[in-house]
Amino acid sequence: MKIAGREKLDEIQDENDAVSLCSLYAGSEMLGIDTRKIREVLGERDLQRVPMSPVFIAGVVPYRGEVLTTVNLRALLGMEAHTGKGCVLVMADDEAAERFGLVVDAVGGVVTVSRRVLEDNPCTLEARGKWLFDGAYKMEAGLMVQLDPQKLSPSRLSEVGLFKNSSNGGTDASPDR
Amino acid sequence: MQRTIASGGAPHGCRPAPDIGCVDELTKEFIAESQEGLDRMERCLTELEMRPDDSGLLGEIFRAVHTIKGTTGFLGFDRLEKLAHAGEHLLGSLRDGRLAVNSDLISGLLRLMDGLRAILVLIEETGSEGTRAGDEDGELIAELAMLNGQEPSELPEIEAPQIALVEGAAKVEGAAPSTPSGGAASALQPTVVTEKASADKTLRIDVDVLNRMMNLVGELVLTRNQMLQSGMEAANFPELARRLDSVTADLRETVMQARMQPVGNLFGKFPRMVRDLARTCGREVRVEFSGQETGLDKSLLEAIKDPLTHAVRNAVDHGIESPADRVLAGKSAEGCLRLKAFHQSGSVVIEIEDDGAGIPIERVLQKAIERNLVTAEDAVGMSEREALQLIFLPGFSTAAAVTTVSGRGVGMDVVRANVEKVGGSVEVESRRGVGTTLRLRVPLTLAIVPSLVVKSGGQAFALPQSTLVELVDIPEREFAQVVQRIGSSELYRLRERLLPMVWLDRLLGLEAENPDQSKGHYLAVLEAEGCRYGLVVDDLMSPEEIVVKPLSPVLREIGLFSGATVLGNGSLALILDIGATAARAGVKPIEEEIGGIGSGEAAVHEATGSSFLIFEDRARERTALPLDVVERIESVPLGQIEYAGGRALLQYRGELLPLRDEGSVLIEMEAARQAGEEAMVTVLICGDASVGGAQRGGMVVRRVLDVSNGTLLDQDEATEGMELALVKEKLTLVHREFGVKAKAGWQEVA
Repeated sequence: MKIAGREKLDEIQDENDAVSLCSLYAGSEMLGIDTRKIREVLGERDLQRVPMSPVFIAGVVPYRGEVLTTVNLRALLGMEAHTGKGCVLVMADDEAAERFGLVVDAVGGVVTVSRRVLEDNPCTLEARGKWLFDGAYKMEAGLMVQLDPQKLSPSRLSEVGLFKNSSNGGTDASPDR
Repeated sequence: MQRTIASGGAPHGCRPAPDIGCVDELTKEFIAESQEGLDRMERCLTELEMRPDDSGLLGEIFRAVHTIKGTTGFLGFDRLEKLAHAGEHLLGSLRDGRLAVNSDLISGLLRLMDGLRAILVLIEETGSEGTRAGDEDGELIAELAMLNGQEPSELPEIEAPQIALVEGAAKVEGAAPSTPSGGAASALQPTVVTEKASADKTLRIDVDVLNRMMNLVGELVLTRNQMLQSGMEAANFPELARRLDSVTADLRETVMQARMQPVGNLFGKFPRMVRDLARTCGREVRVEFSGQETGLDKSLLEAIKDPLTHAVRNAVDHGIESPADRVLAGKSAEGCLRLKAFHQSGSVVIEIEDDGAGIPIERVLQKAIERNLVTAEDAVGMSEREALQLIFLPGFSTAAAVTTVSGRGVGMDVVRANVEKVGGSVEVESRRGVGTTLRLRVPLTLAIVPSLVVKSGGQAFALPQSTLVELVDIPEREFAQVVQRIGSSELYRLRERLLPMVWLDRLLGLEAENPDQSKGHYLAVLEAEGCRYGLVVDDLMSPEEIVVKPLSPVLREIGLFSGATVLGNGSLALILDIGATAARAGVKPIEEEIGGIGSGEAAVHEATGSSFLIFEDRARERTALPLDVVERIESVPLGQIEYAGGRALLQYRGELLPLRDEGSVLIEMEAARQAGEEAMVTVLICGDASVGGAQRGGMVVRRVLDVSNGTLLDQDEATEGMELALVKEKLTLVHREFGVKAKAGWQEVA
């Protein structure tokens, strides 16, 4: 479960300093989200596409009597999106009281890391990346980029307008419809 | 223990309540009761004006005020008591016949009611009734006393000192600065709003209904337990599933029933409003109601409250002319406003009908051009129906001057938007000099919508049944013949009328995942917001009663889907917004009057009175029914048809339909089934929609042949009393058992 090495773990004695992240994968990239912001991991689900929706919308899934709108992480990262299926995480957005799903390729496990290994976004990052990423943790195996679920909510994404069309910023994301 | 008694007893005791911070249970109950009493009083007051001699009404009003007075004394609300007392006193004189009902008196009593309401709201909000001196009501009390004291000579001696006392109070008030009374008047506006808000949150439910609900929930739990214990493989699993099904259906119905509220609750507010409005606008208006008992879901009732209020305002202000104009036009000076509610084919229709001047078409066009809503060239070519649709455009108002009542730019577009938000529709009909009818059509409930699930581009979509007019199957080999083209747009010729075709998969940018071209297509003929078009879909799935789930704002923004639903197989389907789809595809409202869903009765007879559904019941005989009495064509397994007292019956959507089987089809089918064949019976669900489907019945037929126009033959010796018609040059027998009104319609045709 814990990827961080033993000696690292010993350092994380201070409760306030420790952060538990859920690791997830999109393509070859490993990203992390604070577990407190994840409501539930649904696992592999069939996604119902919504025609004419913005490219970053993966579709809708039924979730506890509601219809959950899901955001496609691959599309956000500018990767080619495969449609139809995906691993769904349910995010709770406390501020806007809006629940939404995040579709990723796979969910890893829970990692406890120290806040001290968190590095800010590099200044050379393009605009989309700056919006999506919230720094990176320097792990043994490499970097784990942190995502901010607040900024991933569909309404925020459509407000920002950075992700309206896929051919912006030189990435090769294809529309998911 | 003792402490609880002490603290609980204090607010109920003789100590005045104003000092307590919150409202205790007893006071809450009192407020709810009083408000109901005042609602009753409001209704009675406006009726009293029309029937001044009705002592029953007066008694009711008196009781309402008296109850408030009695209870306030007990609860210690001095101010309320004082006001109620003044009112009771006046009402007492009225009841004893010492005063005559006139409009000033009614106005005074209405103001008394407003005053009482304002105090009640204040109590509800703050737990106290405001200033204990009660000086804010002084003016009102004085007015009531004035009304009472207008004929002092007729008053008996005993009453005199009391009046003097109240009048004395009024004099003191007169001397005092006028600010408090002004404050009381301005306080009225916001309080009305808050009262609404608190009434929205609570609902009165019959205890029986609640008990039934609880029983059903218990049943549900038991069934679940049994299911969990026995598992999927158990022999009795199908039986358990069936029980679950019936419990769910019952529970749903009971909850729905609890949510149903009579439309009369909404109508109750109008007499007062119309009365006040009529006075402001200088009109004489009588209000008539029918169908107050028609039930409507609570949330829908709330949703149509504002549109309805607006429509009533419009009718009084714009619709009904001033008494002088009415007399000139040869009508009675008093205008009539009719509010009707009734059920029609699965929805509730509310009509607001006035006998005013009607909507002046040329003024509408002129105004629309002025406001750049249409170009002058377009306006010339517009039909009357099209022009009437203009009043629903945003920013449209024909009011010559901006008055307090209307003409402030918030218009029919808001009415329409609000009604359509809940899945309803608005229609307007107007005849010059005769009147205007506005028809709001709303579904019975929001939560569950009967709909047809279709497939396009490999995806499922739900079409609300209310918008579905008919379905046409276009086999691939006929496709080229029936589809006609003008430029790039495709049209389907449906009974000599050209219907624009909209391809759902192309519209939504879906890849056509239909390699099996030989299957052909289906055309769903839809009608919404005055647009009629054919939606081309790849496949039809089952009709389902779907539970509507809202979409997130981002997906709502697309504007084509009104929600989503979980289908029976567990997958999701999007619910298509028919009106928005039409707009997206560029379909314009149609010009001609079409006798489909929702047109006036007269129009139905005009347009489809001569359309027949032709079928075969006896072998080799063609029989027909007028198309407008046939609601649906159902295919039913023979096993579902039950018998009672020698009559065949069908349970259909919670209703028991008697089946007519003229051609003994059922007997033949039964024989076929015993021979081991799978038997499906075709049943025509017939009913007279205009009487609320009360006379519904089913008709068992061999097969349905066609829908076509025809002419009825005149009756003579050769026909031997049979109604015969020529349909497609073939002799056809016409059934005439469904509804008296239908018969009348046929005579017109003949």
